[in-house]
This record gives sequence, C-alpha cells and structure tokens, in this order.
Amino acid sequence: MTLSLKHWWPNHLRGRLTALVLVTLLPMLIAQATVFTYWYRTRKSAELQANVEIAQAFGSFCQRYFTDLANTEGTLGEVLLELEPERALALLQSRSSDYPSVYSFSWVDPEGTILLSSRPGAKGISVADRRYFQEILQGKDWTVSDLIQTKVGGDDRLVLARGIRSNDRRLRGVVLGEVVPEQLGETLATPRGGGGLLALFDGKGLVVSLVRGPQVPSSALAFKNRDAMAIQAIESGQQITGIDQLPGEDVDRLAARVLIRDLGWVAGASRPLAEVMAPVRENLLYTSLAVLVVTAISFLAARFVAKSIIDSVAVVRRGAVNLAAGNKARVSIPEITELADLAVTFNHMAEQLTLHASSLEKTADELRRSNQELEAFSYSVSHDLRAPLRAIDGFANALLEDHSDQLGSEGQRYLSIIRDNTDRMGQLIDDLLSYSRLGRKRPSFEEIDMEALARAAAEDLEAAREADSSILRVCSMPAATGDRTLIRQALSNLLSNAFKFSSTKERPEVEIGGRQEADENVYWVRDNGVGFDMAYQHKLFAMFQRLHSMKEFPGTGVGLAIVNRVMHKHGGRVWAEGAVNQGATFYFALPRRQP
Amino acid sequence: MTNEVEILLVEDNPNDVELALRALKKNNLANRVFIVKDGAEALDFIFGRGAHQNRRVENVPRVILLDLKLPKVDGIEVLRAIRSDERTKYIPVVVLTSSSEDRDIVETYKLGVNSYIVKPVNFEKFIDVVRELGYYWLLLNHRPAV
Repeated sequence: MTLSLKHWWPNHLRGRLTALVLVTLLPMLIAQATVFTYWYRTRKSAELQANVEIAQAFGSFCQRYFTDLANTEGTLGEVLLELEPERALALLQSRSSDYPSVYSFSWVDPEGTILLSSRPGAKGISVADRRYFQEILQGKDWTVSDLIQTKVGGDDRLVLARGIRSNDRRLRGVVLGEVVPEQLGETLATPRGGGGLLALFDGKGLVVSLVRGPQVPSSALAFKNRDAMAIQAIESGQQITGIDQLPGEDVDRLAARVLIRDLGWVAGASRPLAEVMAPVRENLLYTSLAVLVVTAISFLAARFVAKSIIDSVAVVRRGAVNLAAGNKARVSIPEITELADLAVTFNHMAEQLTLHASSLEKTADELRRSNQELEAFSYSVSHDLRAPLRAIDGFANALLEDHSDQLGSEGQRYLSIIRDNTDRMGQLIDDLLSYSRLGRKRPSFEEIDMEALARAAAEDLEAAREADSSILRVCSMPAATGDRTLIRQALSNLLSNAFKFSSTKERPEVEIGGRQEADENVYWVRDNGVGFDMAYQHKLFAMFQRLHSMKEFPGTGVGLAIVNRVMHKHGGRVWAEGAVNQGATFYFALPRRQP
Repeated sequence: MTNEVEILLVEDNPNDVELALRALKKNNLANRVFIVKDGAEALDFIFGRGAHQNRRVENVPRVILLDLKLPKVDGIEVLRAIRSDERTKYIPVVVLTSSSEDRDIVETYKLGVNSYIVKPVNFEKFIDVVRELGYYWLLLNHRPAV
C-alpha cells in the first residue's frame, strides 16, 4: 500500500497540492453519491407506497359507488314490483337521470327478458346469456359485469345487476344499471397533478376508466387497452408495484395495481419516474455544480499556492545559480514566512560567501605573489649563489695547480677542504632547487606500472654508481595513479637511501613491494642497513635533517623531504619503521583514486 | 681566415670569464676567443654595429658561448636576434649558464639553441665540459657555408 502510494504520489509541489485537493474531494464525492443514492431509493419506495394508497383509495371509492348503486337498485326493484308498467318505466327514467354516470335502468324478469328499460328499444331483449345474469341466478345479491357491449346500440358499458328476491330467496326480477365507464372516473376520483394517472381495470384487465393528469398524453393508455400489470395482479391475487411503461408514452413510471376484492377489478395509480425524481435530479445538478465550482476553485487555489511557492523557490534557486556562477546574488524576500526565512538565510549566506570568497581571493593573491617571489628567489639562488661558488672552486683549483709548491701540504689540505665544501654547497643548492621546483609542479595523473618504474629507477641509480641493482628484490606492486616523474623521483630517492644505508653491510639486501588496501595502495622499500632509532623518526622527512654524519653517509637531507612532498601532492602519506642496525622500512601510501 | 674569431664568449662575470679562459686554455682552445660583457655588445659584435662597425657580419664565429643572465640585453634576446637573421641563424650557439630552470631550457630550445650546458660548480668538471664542447663544435662539427 505504502509502495503504491509512493508510486502515485507526485514528486513536484504542484502535483502534490493537486493530489491533496483530490484526496480531500474524493470522500466528499463519495458522501454525496451515497446521500443521493439513499435519497433516490427512499423517494422511489415512498412514491410506490403513495401509488398503492391512492389506488386503494380509488378502489374503495369505486367499491362504495357500486355498493350504493346496488342498494339503490334494490330499493328500486322493491318499488317496481308494486307499480304499474307505465309508472314503473317513468320511475326508471327519472332514476337514471338522477345518476349521471348511469345511462339506463332496466327491469328484467327471472327468465332474463328485459320487461322495462329507460334505454329505448331494449324492451324484449334477453340478457339470459349474460354472465352477470347467470351469477344472479346462481344466488348472488348483486354483481358488476366486465366491460360489455350493449345488445342495443353496441355501447361499451358496465352493468350492475341486482337480484330482487322474495323472503324465501326466490328470484322475482333483476334490476340492471347501465354504467357509462367514461364517467366513472370523473365521478369517483380527483385527477392527479402532472403526469399522475389513475385507472380502473375490469376483471379481464381491460381499462375501464382513466383519470389522466394534465401532462399525460391522451395517446398513452386508452379505454379498453389490456393492462399486463393489472392482469398480473388479478392472476396473483396480490397488489403489484414496480416500474411500468404505458403503451404510446415510452416513459418509465412508478406504478401500483391494487385489487378491488368485491368487484374482482383492479385500481391502478402511477407517476413518471422522472417527475418523481425531478427534485432529486435538480438537487443533484445544483450539488454537482457546487462541487465542480469548489473543485475548480480548489485547483486554482492549489495552483496559485504552488506557483507562489515555486516562484519564491525559483527566486532563491536563481540566486544560488548566480552565486555559483560567481555573481553577486541577493534575492527578493517572498511573502511566505518560511520561504522568506529561507531567502533571508540565503542572502546572509551569499554575503558570507562573498566575504569568504574575497578573503580567499586575497589569500590566493598573496599566495600567488609569494609564490612568484619564491620563484624569483629560487631562480636567483640557482644563478647567483652558484656563480661565487664556481669562482671559489675554480680559483682554489688554480691556486692548487699554479702555486702548490708555495702552499705546502697543510695549505693544500685546507684548499681541498674549501673545494669539498663548495662541492657540498653546490649539491645543497641543487637539492634545494629541485625541492622548490617540486613545490611548484602540478602533478598530472596517469596509470603507473610501479614494478617497471622501480626497476627503471634502480637501473638509473646503478648507472650513476649509487646502487647495485643486483641486490634489489622487486616484489609484486599494484599499479598506482600519479605523476610519473614525481613518483619516479620518490622511488629513486628511497632506493638510493636504501642502497646507501645498507652499503656497509656484508650482504646488503634491498626489497621493494606493495599491497592493495581498501582506499589506498601501500608501497614499501626495505633494507637491512644501519636502520635508525625510532625516537628520531619525526625528523626523517624534514628538510636538511640527517641522522648520520657526512663521514658515515654523504647526503644533504633533502631526499626524504622530497619523498614526503611528492606524497603530499598526491594526497598520500609516508612513514617509516626501523631500529638501529636492524634495517629500515620506508612506506608510502597513494590513494587509489586521484584526489 | 687568420683573424677569424673562433669562439665568442658572452659573459658578464669576470671570474667566470677568467675560469672559462683557463678551462679553454687547458684544452688548447683559447687561441681566438673574443669576449663581450653584455648582450648589447654581443649584438654589436655579431651584427657589426657600434664599436664593432668595421667587422664584417659574414665572418661569423665558429661557436658562441652564451650566458643567459646578462646586463642590458639578456641571453634569450641575443639568441632570438641571432636566429632571426639570415646571416647568423646557422651559428652554433651553446648556452652556458648557472640556471637549470626548466623554462630557460625550454625557451632556448624553442629558439633553436644547439646545446644547453649548466656550468658545474666543480672546476674539474667544468674543464671536462669545456673540452667536450670545444672538440665538438670546433673540430668535429660541420656547418653550412654562409
């Protein structure tokens, strides 16, 4: 999880702020979605329940209407039995005009023949084949027919048949009420608003009556249409709720179908889903817009904040670049406190750096000057100190050659001492010069085969009769990185010393070798010569320091100082181990990578 | 031919001059040595100007022994002048100096010096050096005709 977060978490500031906005917005969006889903569901189930209740109300009105009508017909029948035919007909006609939704009343004898009717031309027609009549014959008090067509006129009508019986339950006649279905709705129900719809279905699931809301198109569901949901309710004997579509409307509706038990009919109510959800949708739209605006503002704010930070950082960064390029770099102070702190600190640092740089430059200038002076000095040493020496030696020699008889043997010896010392002085000047020249030389680094270099140095020494390379043992040595000339000089000095200080031994031995270590290569030159007292080892590598007299071993005391200087120039180091008369080992270490 | 200068020694230090002459003498080379004490006089001599205006430039010395550190005009300038003149550019010039500075050696070789010799402090060694260079430049060496 942390890994994937790391993977997705952007590295730049702008990305991070954007991600932060997203992270904050996401739970808000999820909460919104949950709220709206919940709202949608409760709204839907509430509307379905409302439809059930409306349908139930419609159904119960309907049932009461027919019960009332049945009672009226019962009373009518009792009266008709007592009346003359003319007066009875007049009564039927007047009653039917009292009931606006009843087109006609008829009086039928127990055999099913219409004896009297307020509908003209119906007299003498037999209704014995009608199902309602048969239901009455079978003993029902009253019944309502499904939608049927009248035998006279062929109108779609509902017929309420009421059996009139004597006290012994013998059928004496049947009163028929011819109900106009189109007017039932107006009579029984209050129209619903919007797309709301109320409907009444007969026992076959045909639409008997429709009460449309103002927004229901007249083409949607027509009189006598067969309704699948109503049939489903009749067949299952239960109320049905759900999404339904009316023929000719193509709109999802939340619908309910409720059985009217006594009639075997179904009452229905529905409302378009879109209409129900309009407030939810509207709210969702406004909320989404608000979220969108909040998001946009957040992103803009994030960008703005990021930009202000990035700009401030960029100012400091430019300052740093300027500073690195060696220019004067002062940055303007940004508004954000922390960055302002940074800028102030940066300016302070830049000031300090400038100060340091100028003092460094001053020091460098001084160094350069003193270096130049030193160079001039050594040049003049080289030239001017040697000239008088040459004169001393030359004329001492002339004296010896031209006037030796006047000098006597003691005088000649003195002159020889003078000449020895001029020689030595010349040697000292030469060594001093090579030491100072070394100081000025900038080492150039290259890969060096140390074994080969050691052999070459030894051969040179042998050629100069300072060594006998036959007593030298060269062990394996790791290659070094360094300045070939300087390293060769160092090797030469160390080998020369080793040969020199072991020359008094019966069997002098000199060994050179090296080993590789973690960060450096360590090399050594070992001899079995006179060695030295470890108490004086700190003097070994100092200029003009000698542990032996000139008589024992000639030398100027510069060789090891040169070795020391060479190693310093390479970032390396030198040290020595030894004991009096037990030989000495001189070590030097070179870094494995150039410094 | 008899008056021709064989060796021109350019040296300001009289002690060095004397020792050089002594060394040349020891090697029997000191017959026709002409000595000048600074760079300006050296140029006058070589190019037949000033005090030496009667000298013919074409009578070039067999070899010039040149110190570098000289009054007025230093040795490097003298060498440069010799090498940039058609008449004198083939004269063998041997720098004989106390300086073993790298930059002097490099500079003189760039200008086409024939030898660069550091005067040894030890006089016997100096005699050896003078002998060798005298034999080489005066006896063994052949140069193009001017």
